[in-house]
Parts: sequence; C-alpha cells; structure tokens
Amino acid sequence: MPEKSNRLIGILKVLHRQYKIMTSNTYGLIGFWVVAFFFTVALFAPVIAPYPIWEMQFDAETGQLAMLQSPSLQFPLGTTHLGYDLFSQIVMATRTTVMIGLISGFISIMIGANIGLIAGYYGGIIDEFLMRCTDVLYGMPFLPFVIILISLFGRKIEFVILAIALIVWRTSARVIRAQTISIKQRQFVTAARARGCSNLRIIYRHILPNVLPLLLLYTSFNIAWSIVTEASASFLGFGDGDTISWGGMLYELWLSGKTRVAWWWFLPPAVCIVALVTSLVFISRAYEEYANPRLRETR
Amino acid sequence: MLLDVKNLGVRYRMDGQDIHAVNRLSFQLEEDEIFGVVGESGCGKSSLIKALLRLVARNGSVTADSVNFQGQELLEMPMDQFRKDILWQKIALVPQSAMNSLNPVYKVGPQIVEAIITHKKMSERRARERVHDLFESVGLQKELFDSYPHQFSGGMRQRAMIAMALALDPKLIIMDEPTTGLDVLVQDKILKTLRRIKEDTKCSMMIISHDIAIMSEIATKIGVMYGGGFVEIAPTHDLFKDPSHPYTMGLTNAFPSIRELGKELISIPGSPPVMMREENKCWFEPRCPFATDQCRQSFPEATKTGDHHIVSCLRSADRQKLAKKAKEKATWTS
Amino acid sequence: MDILSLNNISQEFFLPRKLTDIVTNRPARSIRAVQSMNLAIHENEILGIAGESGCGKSTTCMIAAGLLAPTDGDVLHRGQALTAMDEQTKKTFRRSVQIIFQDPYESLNPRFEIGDTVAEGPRAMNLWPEEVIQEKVRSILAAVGLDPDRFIKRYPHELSGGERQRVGIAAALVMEPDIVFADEPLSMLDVSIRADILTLIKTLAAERKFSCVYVSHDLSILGNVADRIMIMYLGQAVEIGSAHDVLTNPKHPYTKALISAVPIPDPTIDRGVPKIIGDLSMPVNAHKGCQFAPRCPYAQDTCWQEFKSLSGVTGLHESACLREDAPDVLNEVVDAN
Ligand SMILES: Nc1ncnc2c1ncn2[C@@H]1O[C@H](COP(=O)(O)OP(=O)(O)O)[C@@H](O)[C@H]1O
Ligand SMILES: Nc1ncnc2c1ncn2[C@@H]1O[C@H](COP(=O)(O)OP(=O)(O)O)[C@@H](O)[C@H]1O
Ligand SMILES: [Mg+2]
Ligand SMILES: [Mg+2]
Repeated sequence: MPEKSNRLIGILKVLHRQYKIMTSNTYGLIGFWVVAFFFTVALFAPVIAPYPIWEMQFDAETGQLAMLQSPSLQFPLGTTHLGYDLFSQIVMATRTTVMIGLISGFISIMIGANIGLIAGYYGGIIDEFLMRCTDVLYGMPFLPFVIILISLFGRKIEFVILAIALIVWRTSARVIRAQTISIKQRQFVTAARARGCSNLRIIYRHILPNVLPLLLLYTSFNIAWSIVTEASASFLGFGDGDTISWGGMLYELWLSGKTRVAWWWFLPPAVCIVALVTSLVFISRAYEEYANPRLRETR
Repeated sequence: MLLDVKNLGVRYRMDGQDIHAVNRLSFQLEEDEIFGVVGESGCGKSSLIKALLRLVARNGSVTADSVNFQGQELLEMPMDQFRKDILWQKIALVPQSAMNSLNPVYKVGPQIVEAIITHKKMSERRARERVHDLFESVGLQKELFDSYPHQFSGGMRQRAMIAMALALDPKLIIMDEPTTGLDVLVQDKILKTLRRIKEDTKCSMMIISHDIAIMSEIATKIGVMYGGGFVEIAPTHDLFKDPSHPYTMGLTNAFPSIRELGKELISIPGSPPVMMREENKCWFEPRCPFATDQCRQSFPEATKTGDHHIVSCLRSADRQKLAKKAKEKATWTS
Repeated sequence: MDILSLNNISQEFFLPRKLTDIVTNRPARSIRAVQSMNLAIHENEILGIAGESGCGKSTTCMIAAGLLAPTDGDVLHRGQALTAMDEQTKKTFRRSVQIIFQDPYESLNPRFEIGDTVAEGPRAMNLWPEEVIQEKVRSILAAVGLDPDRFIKRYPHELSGGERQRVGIAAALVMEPDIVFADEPLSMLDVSIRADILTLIKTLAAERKFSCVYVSHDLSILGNVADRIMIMYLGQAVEIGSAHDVLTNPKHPYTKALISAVPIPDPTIDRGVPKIIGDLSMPVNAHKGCQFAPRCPYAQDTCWQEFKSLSGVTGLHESACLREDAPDVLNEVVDAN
C-alpha cells in the first residue's frame, strides 16, 4: 500500500534528521555511537553473556572455585569473591541500566513536558499551582527522596523506575514551560486560535512540534540523570536485589570489602556509567546547539 | 568631489557558498548633496554602506578599483588610521534600527559626551556644551540630556542617534533606513530636521531607504539599486520625469500615492535575484518585460543619458517609448 | 444588515503595579487601548483603519474577531451579541470571521507544511470530510496564485515573503468567511510585490463576496484599497467616512495633520506642513477628553473635558472634533512648532 510506505518513508526521514542533528558536531557523533553500542549490548545481553550471572564458576585449569581472579582468557573481566563472572554481570547490568534509564527517562519527560506545556499555555492559576508543585520538588534533596520512595514502595525494579521518574521531571517541566510561554506569544498561535483550534489542539499540534528540539534535549538529559540516580541508589543498596545493575555491582564490591584489591571489579561499571552518561550529555548538547543556534557561533 | 566609488564588490562566504551582495557598483557624490539610495530588501544597500565604512562582517570580503574620499583611498588606508581619521570624524553612520543602538544602561547625553571625548581631544565641559547644542539642532529638549534611552520614544532615539552622528562635524553622514518603523508624523519631522541640518552644516548625506516616496521629498539625487549595483542614478526631478531603467519604471508603478486615489498599482512580476554567482548579464532581465537576447548575453555598462543621468540598461536609447509602455498593466502581466 | 458591529467598545489593559505604587497605595495604572468605539461593517465593503502605531488598531481587530474580550461594550455578528451566543452560533462566528496577519514570517507555523497550514482551520472545526478539504485547499491555493502541486508540500522557510503572505490569505479564505480582518498585511513585504497582494485582496473580496477590514498606518495604501476609512488616535476613533471624503476633505485636525505628513512619490508636489504639536503621548490614564487635545493647535478647555464618540452609522462622514462647527478656525494658518 502506497499510504503505508509513504508513512514509513516519512518516519525514516524524521529519524535521519535526528541523526543529522545528533551528529552535527564531533562530540555528538562520539556520543551517538557510544550510546548505540550500549543499546546494542543491552538488546543482545543474554546472547553475549557467556555464563549465568549468579552462578559460581570454576577455573578450567585447576578446577577450583574461581575466586577473585583477575582478567584472563576464561574470564575476560575477572571474577568476584564468590566466583561470579564479571563480564556476564556487566553485560546483563547494561541491560538493566539501559532499561531503567530509558523507561524512567521517558516517563519523566512525559510528565515534565505535559506539565510544562499546560502550565505555560494556560498560565494564571493553573500555572501557579503546577509550578509551586515543581518548586516543592526542587526543595527535596534528590537522593534521599528517591531512597525514601524506594523504601516506601519496596525494592522492585518497577518502583525504582517510578521513584526516579517522579523526581527527574522537574527541570524539564520548568524549561519546557518557559519555551511554551515564548512560543504561545507567537502569531501563528493566535492564527490557530482564529481558525477555530481548541486549546488542546493548539498545545499538542501547534506548540509541541516547536518545543520538540528542547524536548529531545531533555529526554536525553533525563535518561542520563535517571542512570546516575539509579546507580547512586543501587550503590547505596536501594536497587532491586533480583536484577543486577552497574550501581548494584559497585554495591556488591563494597560489601565484599575488596575495593582496594579488585580493580577489575571496580573499573568496568565505573567506566560504563561515566561513558554512557557523558555520551548522553554530548547528545543533549548537540540538540541544545540545534535548538539555540547562537551557541554555535560562539564556538 | 567628495566620494568616488568605482567598481565596488562585496561578497559573503556562507556554508561554502558565495553571496555576491554588491556587484560592479560605481557612483560619485558631490559636496552639499543628499544622495538617496533606494532598493528592495536584500539588494545590498546595507552591504554597500558597510563596505564604505569598512565594517563588513568577518565572512565578507570587499573589492574595488577605487573608493576615493576627498583624495584619499579609503580601502588602502591602514585600519587604525581609518578609524582615527575617517570614521566619525569625516564619515558618520546612523545604522539601521538605530533606535535600538543606544546603550540602555547609560543616560543618553553622557553616552554622546563619552563618544565625543574618545574621538577628539576636548574637555568634558566643552563636550557637554556641544551635546547641548546638538540636542537643540536635532530638536530634542535639553532636559532630556540626563534621561535613559527607554524613556525616549522611537523618534526621539532616532534624533539622539543623528545628534551622535553630527557630533564631530562630519563631511558625510550615512543613514541606513532612518525612518523605517516610525510613524508618518514622526517621519515627517525627522525628514525636516535632516533637511535643516543639511542647510546649517552643508554636509553631504547618503540616505538609504526602500521608500521611493521619502526619497522624492528629501534627496537631491537618487540611485536605484538592483542586484547589488546601481541601475540608475539621476537628480530627483529627472528620475521621476524621465525614468530610464525598466526597474525604476516598475517601482513608480507599484507605489500608491495619496494624491492619486484611483491609481491602479502594478507589481513587478517575479522576485529579487538570488546572487549566488557573478553573472555576465543584466540582473533584472528575468523580471523585465523589455528584455532582449542581448540582455542575457552581456552586462549592461553604465551609460549617460543626460548631464547627470546614468543608466545601466542596454535599451536606454528606447527609454521614452518603454516608459510609455511601462505605464500599462498588460506590459507587466503578459 | 451589517455583518459586524461594535457597540461602545472599550478596552483597558492594566499595567502591573510597581512596588512603589503598592507602598504609596496608588491604584493600578492602565492603558486605554480602545475607548467607546462604535463601528458597523457592511456587506461587501472594504473598511480601512488608519492611525499611528499603538493607537489601538490591532486591539480593535482582535476584539471584533472575538479573540479578545472587551472590558466594556458589545460585539454583534449579524445582530447577535458575541457574549450571548450558543455553541453552534459561536462556531459559525469563529468560521465567518477570519484574520490575515501582519507578519508572514511569524504567522505560519514553521513545522507545518503549507497544505496542512491551510487545511488546519477546516480540520480543527470539522467543516468537511478530508477529501473535500483537500479539494478546497488546492483550489484556494490556486486562487491566491500558488500552484498547489508545487507548494502544498513545502515548509514556510522555503517560501519568499510574498508567497508566505499568500498562504496566510489562503488559510483565512479557505474557511469561507464573510468578513476578513487584514492587519497591516503588506508592511513586511517588498515594495515591488505589494501591489499584487493588495490587488489580490481586493479582487478576492469582490469575487468571493466578503467584507474586509484593512488596517494600515499608510494612508496612501488605504486610499487605494478602501471604500471607507476610519482614523484612530490613542484609542479613540476620530473620523470616519468614505475614503474619498476623508482623504480629500478631512474634518478632524488630526486627520488633516496625518494626511499632510504622508510623503508623495512625486518631487513636483509640495504637500505642506502638518499642524500638530509635540510627539505622540502615551495613553496611560489620560485625561477624559479628546486624546488629541494636547497636540491640537485648536484645542479649547472643553476639548480636555469631553469626548464625542462617533455614532458608527454607516454612510456618514463624521468627525469627533468638538470644534467641527467652526471650520474656518480649523483652517486658519497656525504655526505649530
Ligand atoms: N554577514 C553576512 N553573511 C552572509 N550573507 C550576508 C551577510 N550580510 C548580508 N548578507 C546577504 O547579502 C545580501 C545583501 O544584504 P544587505 O546588504 O543587508 O541588503 P539590504 O540592506 O539592501 O536589505 C542579502 O542577500 C543578505 O542575505
Ligand atoms: N496585551 C496587552 N497588554 C498591555 N497592553 C497592551 C496589550 N496589547 C496592546 N496593548 C497596548 O495597547 C495599545 C494599543 O495597541 P495596538 O492595538 O497593538 O496598537 P496598533 O495596532 O494600532 O499599533 C498600545 O499602547 C499597546 O502597548
Ligand atoms: Mg539593510
Ligand atoms: Mg498593530
């Protein structure tokens, strides 16, 4: 059906455009490929991981429990003090972290975007109320808030995601509100009103596409924040005990008391966190430049 | 002669492409003249000024056979000498949207005093007196000396900018769209002020505008710009009596006049050229109802059709016949 | 019957109170953008509104188009007050009253294709089935001189100013309105193409039988396009009448000044000197009389106390000048300034 293939082409065009924007500078390009790498790993994690993550491994040569081994051919990233394979763990942890980051990043941008759009568009008492709520969230210390929410709801991955999403949206809401206010004053919004568009239609059909670059910027930013938050919470022991994440790996290391010796245990999760978060920030910078071309000239 | 420009070109480089904003532009300016430059947006008016004042943006480059101001070659002068001796002292500029060029955090009077002192050895008291005189001559009350720009209306700010330009008694004042965005009554007063200033100081002015009606009132000589160069330069009366370039004829057709209520307005078909490369043909040719094959093959050199009347059109010999035809709508629509 | 009438419309904008105002307990300052305005717009006429910037032209249009609720007074569409309309009538009103905006660079959504921009109104109001909408969009684009095949898929930034303004006109006219407000539709366009857009509005108004309120600060354009002209000064309508009467035989001192300040593209004509004092004043809590009094060389004490608003009855040539009955006074030579 030509209709369908047209739509497909349309979607491909949009994606291509996003790719162009993300990779419009060197950092964005690096960011894009690093993120793409982690997402691929996350997608194929069960295939890539050589061993089950919670299973003790034995040294092929000596036949003994492979306790706290440094990297070798058999265990590319070494093992834990209980003989778990760290390579398998980091691959599976990537899956968890990426999933948590993506889902809470998207939930938070949904909340933030809608609150920002509605507050900015309607103004007045609605704006006042929504923004005061945001301010209250700003008053909350970030990590303790997440930890309290998690301990209230329970240490399940769904609740971790929810707890993170419930706090990360605050910045995106404020920024998108500001942008909405400036777009709402543009003449094409009045024009839409004059042609009989309802408020919701104006918000979602006319204003939303114009805050899209900003929205994507904050999506990538929120994902980064979510990952950092999850890592911090897990490191403090407030992650889901049934799955493994980068922060959780560091927590296990901490519990084992081998922090000083097992550099192969410490480095991979730490590097992964920094690499993925930095890459996401690079991507958001590329969007920022696109949304605000003046930044480009100062370079 | 005050200013003699020969074969000026301004070219901007952007995204790997060249924009030829000014091409093969020549004109001469006598003392005690008000030279009006008219042309549509994008035809290179501002670029022309910036080239003369050596203020072209960094991505732009200027070429010329000669830009001679009172015997001095402006483009060959070292930059600091140009800044010290010419800019402001001899040639002053009132930039486009001058209304927004005052610094909002300083009072208007002291701003001008400051500008004078940095350019000329003068005691602050003398400079203040000078600014008071300037305020009077541009029609600003003395009490406004210590006001902030935001307390000024658009017209008052424009006057302040003119006062600033006059401060060092320049020989030539260049103004980029001095009344655009002002109301007719304010515009009327600014034009009067300009005329009076010219009477008093005997300086020359070069005024840029897209409004041919304003030019007809204030200019002694008008240059019509199209595609980065002058297509016609003539004393004001001659230009209206004997328009010799088809573009000039088209422009006069397109202008409504409050004295001719029923006049049928005629647009020029098509749109202004995108000047991506230098072409060896007439820029107006695609929109010109009188174009011939010749027009597509060679650039029309400037020719004199009267004492001070210069036209760049291959068909300028037929100008009277064409002018008559140009008055009919059918000429432009078919 | 009149299509649209404004009955005694006033609009006040309250400025935010400054801290000093609150401390000294001064009341909020306000701008009277429109003051006791009466106006009736006929079928098939082009009414011009002229005046300096900030005199309330756009505000008047927004009120008349139902996009701004006036502080005082009524807007009537075919005899029905806007405030007393039921949903269905309101929908009809929304559709019948359209606006062509000033800035073609600002009034088109940069993320909408031209076809979608024009189709947006009918889609939002569910006027016709999608195929009919497509059909109408194509025909209206053709009518404003844009080839539908070439333009329907383009974005605004790929169009020239003149083409964008044509899209703006198409987006208003596709709703099949009976009255269109054009708020300075030419001011952002180049001179050489203005005449085309002007002619387009004029011919479409005649062909499609809608009335047009054409707002401009440029009297020479109004003289060319309008059947009737209303002159405004700081929120007050000061003169109204047929274009010919107002421009050739102005009654109000402000109109006279305005007309004599319009530059004429003909160096052989000397237009004379506008008789007016000072610069434009701001309409902040102004005195209650004629707003022009401070600048009027003929003002008397009564002018500062009273204001005569126009009746708005169509066909009359009216002026709000209290000294209208002394025409010789108004014509005497006074050297203002
Ligand atoms: N700094 C610049 N870089 C690139 N292009 C420019 C620059 N300045 C002006 N131009 C282009 O040069 C042309 C002439 O511009 P300008 O001289 O400002 O015209 P005008 O003042 O007559 O409207 C336009 O097409 C404009 O877009
Ligand atoms: N939303 C608003 N809030 C406050 N003041 C306004 C608002 N809209 C217009 N005004 C003021 O009302 C006056 C009339 O404005 P406007 O109708 O836009 O004038 P015009 O279109 O004739 O230039 C101006 O002084 C303007 O500053
Ligand atoms: Mg310019
Ligand atoms: Mg307006």
